[in-house]
Parts: sequence; C-alpha cells; structure tokens
Amino acid sequence: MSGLNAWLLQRISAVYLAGFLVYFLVSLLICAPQSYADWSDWMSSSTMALATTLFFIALLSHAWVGMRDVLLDYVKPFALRLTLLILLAVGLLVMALWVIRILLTGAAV
Amino acid sequence: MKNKKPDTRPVNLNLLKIRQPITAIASIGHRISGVLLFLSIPFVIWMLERSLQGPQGFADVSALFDNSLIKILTLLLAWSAAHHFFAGIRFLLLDIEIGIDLATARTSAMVVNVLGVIGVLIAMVMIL
Repeated sequence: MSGLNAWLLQRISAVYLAGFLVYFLVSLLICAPQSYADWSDWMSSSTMALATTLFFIALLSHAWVGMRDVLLDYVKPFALRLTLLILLAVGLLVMALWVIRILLTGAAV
Repeated sequence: MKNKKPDTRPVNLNLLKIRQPITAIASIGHRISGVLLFLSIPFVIWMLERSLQGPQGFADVSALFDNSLIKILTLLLAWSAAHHFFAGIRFLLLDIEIGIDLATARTSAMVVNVLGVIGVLIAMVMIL
C-alpha cells in the first residue's frame, strides 16, 4: 500500500472515523449506557455491530498509513526503519485479530 | 550546488525561541495527537473487551475512570481526539482546495488549535 492508494485510504477512513466519532459521542450524550445490559444490548445491535466493525477496519487502516508516514519521515537508518515498520504491521494485525475475536464473541452472546 | 564560501548565516535552533507559524503548530499537533491516539488503541480495545465480558467487567472499566492518572490520560486523549478531528477536517478541506489562501489557512489553523483546547475543557467538565 503506497502512493495514491495510501493517500486515498487515509482520507476515506478519516471521513468514516469522523462520522462514527460524532455518532458515538452524541449517542453517549443523549443516553449513556448506565449498566452492562444497556451497553451490551447497544453494542450487539446489528447497526452498532456493523458500525463498530467498520470503525475498527477504518481505524487500523488509518493508523497504518499515518504511523507509516511518521516512521518514514523521522526514522532514517534503514534497518531500524524496516524493523519498526514490521513491528507496526504485526501490532496492527494482532489488534485486528483481537477485535475480531471480541466482536464475534459479542455477536454470539 | 555547493557554495564554496563558509556559511556565515546565523543559526538559531533553540526550540524555546523559534516561533513556529500557527499553521505549523496545527500540523505538528495533528501528528503528535495521531501518534497518541495510535498508542491508545490497545487500551481502548482492552476496555471494549473487558466491558463486554459481563456486569463485573463493565463495572471494572467504569471504575477505572475514578483513578486520577486515568483521568489525566483521558484528558490527553480528549485533546488528541479533538485536535486530530478538527485538524483532519481542515486538511480534508485543504485537499479539495477550500481555504487554501494564506489568510484563511492561518485563521482555520488558529480555529483548529482553539477547538482542540475547547475539547479538553469539555472533557474536564465531564470527568473531573
């Protein structure tokens, strides 16, 4: 993922993340879940399950492009740069798998 | 194109004395807040997992916010999220050539920097 594709991915994910953030915060302001039952019901509703899944896809893709840009700008030594990029990619993949497990478990309950 | 003469121009890299343009402050703030938000992701995922594990997990995560250190970190993330959100919208508008003249770009950078601070103030009122 590089060049125009990365640029485009960063912008498309940004628009979704901004929309989700507003929706999430406004929902919390209107009616914050006061109990586990409220929270769990809300998060496992089909709308929220889909929106949250898309949120994490957008978040982790956005983080990849942004952190990659930061590393490419500030880390000059090639070996260190490559190592950090690999660690970043592995870290984001682990987080993606972790989220998938949480969302699948949540959906099953 | 190397100049043979020794470079006698004054060098001042004292970070406490350099005044960055307001647009540069909005921009570096966007980077710093982005890195902070990235670092927060594992904690957010962990809180999501714990809060969905059952009533006890939900209570544990809610109780976290009584801790002063967590409150301070939450405020730092509130600034990060607010600044990153507004500065991000500013960059998206600049991408589609809205507000690219210097005067408007300076004003919007100032607005973004202020909105980031307002975000923290709102968060302070809500959690302290």
